Amino acid sequence: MSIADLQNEIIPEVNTHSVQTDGTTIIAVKYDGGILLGADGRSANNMYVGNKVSDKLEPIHQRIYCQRSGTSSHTSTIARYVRYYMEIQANELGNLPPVESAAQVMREIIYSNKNSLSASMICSGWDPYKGYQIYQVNSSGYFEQGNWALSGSGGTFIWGYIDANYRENMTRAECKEFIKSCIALACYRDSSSGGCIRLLDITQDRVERDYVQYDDFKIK
Amino acid sequence: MELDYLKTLPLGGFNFDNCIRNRAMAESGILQAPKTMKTGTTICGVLFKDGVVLAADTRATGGSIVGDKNCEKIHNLAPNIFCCGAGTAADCDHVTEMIKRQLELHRLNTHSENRVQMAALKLVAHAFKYGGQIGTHLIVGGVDVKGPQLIECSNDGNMYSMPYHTTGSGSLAAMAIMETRYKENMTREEAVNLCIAAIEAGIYHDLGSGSNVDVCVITRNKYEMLRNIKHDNFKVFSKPGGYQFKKDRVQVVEEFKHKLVVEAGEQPMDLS
Repeated sequence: MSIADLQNEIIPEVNTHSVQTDGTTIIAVKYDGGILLGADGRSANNMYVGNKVSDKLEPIHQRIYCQRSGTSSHTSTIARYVRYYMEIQANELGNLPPVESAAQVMREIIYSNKNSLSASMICSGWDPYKGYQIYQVNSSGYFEQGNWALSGSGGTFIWGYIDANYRENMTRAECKEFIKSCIALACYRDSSSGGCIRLLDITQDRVERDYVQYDDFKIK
Repeated sequence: MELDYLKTLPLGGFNFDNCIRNRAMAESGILQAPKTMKTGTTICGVLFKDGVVLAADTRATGGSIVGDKNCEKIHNLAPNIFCCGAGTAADCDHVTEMIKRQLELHRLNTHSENRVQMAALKLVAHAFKYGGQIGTHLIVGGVDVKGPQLIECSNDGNMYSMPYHTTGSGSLAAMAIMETRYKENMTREEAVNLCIAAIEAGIYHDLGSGSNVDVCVITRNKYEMLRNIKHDNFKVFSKPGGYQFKKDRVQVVEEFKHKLVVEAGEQPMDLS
């Protein structure tokens, strides 16, 4: 066995041993006049919950946010790079940067380092060119746009719920309840999701955060 | 010309010879692959009304042997920033020393106080470069323009901020104390007592932690290093009078005196 084979085989195994992962539920949904992002608050090392109120909603620019799932050190570093590039682009444009650019930069970073990264992210926000957009970038470096996006280990448990209950052009209040119930359900069935619910509302005029305590989760 | 000797020279970059050896040893089934050394520690940090308290135990272990019964695990990064280190002791010492110098240069360049966020980001950026191979699990605390700050930096390059943190093998015992006794806006006394209780939980319930408790209290423009504030496990016996040697045990071969001339006033540095 050559050294190159060993590098490919052994090193990732060493790297992923007991790292903090966002075994996560993250969801982004477009509603009538904005985007709502939701995330749980659990970050775990194997069986130990390292952080029960972690913030997986990371700002990229004034109206662009990303949500992180995967190894949290990887995803926060990627977010830092994307933030840096979008800052440059915003200065060059003299205007808000396109959401698509942020997603594209994120995709490029993940794709070109996919052998050493474990990152699946959602990039969403508003720009003056194409309005509200949600992009999902998966860990293989592929991205697609949609009206809603779902990622993380907890997502597995709520695909059916979203398929059954998602409607286009929900009101803000409806959408908020929808996301809360999505994440509460995922936390109920997924061992690596839990803690709290963090919500973020992006509209053309403002960005607003909200927080739901674990005690206030509603399953039904 | 034969240049075979070049092949014997070490190549640059990383060396993965031990990976091959470990795999061969594991496959042979006769010998066990060497295990990485684990170190035990309990460290914690708490935010209180007008500052930060950091605390650590003082046991250093190598495998199952206690290497040092009274070591220092609270490192200084800047006059307003301290950090507790768990994991590989050598890595913690050297990485904090390196960041300390970078922070000092930044302070001299900008004529301003360092921010805790910056110190943490530098530590994390360094740890991330090495993909978790550097064993630094740190709790960074300090007071800067934004007020008291407490940030945890793990070895894989992850950082996050909470009002209380625990790390190391005794972190579970310490976290149990923190979770039950932490309150917002504690006084200095309460915060120090909480930290001591948390570290003592680690000392008494975790085999990797032990000995005494060190505490560091950082407030605006002031820090206090309370070394061995609790010493329940202090060394009981020491030789009365200590060790003394006779003066004539070392023979003086030669003796000389030289007068130093000190010129008054500042001397400009030679930059040529």
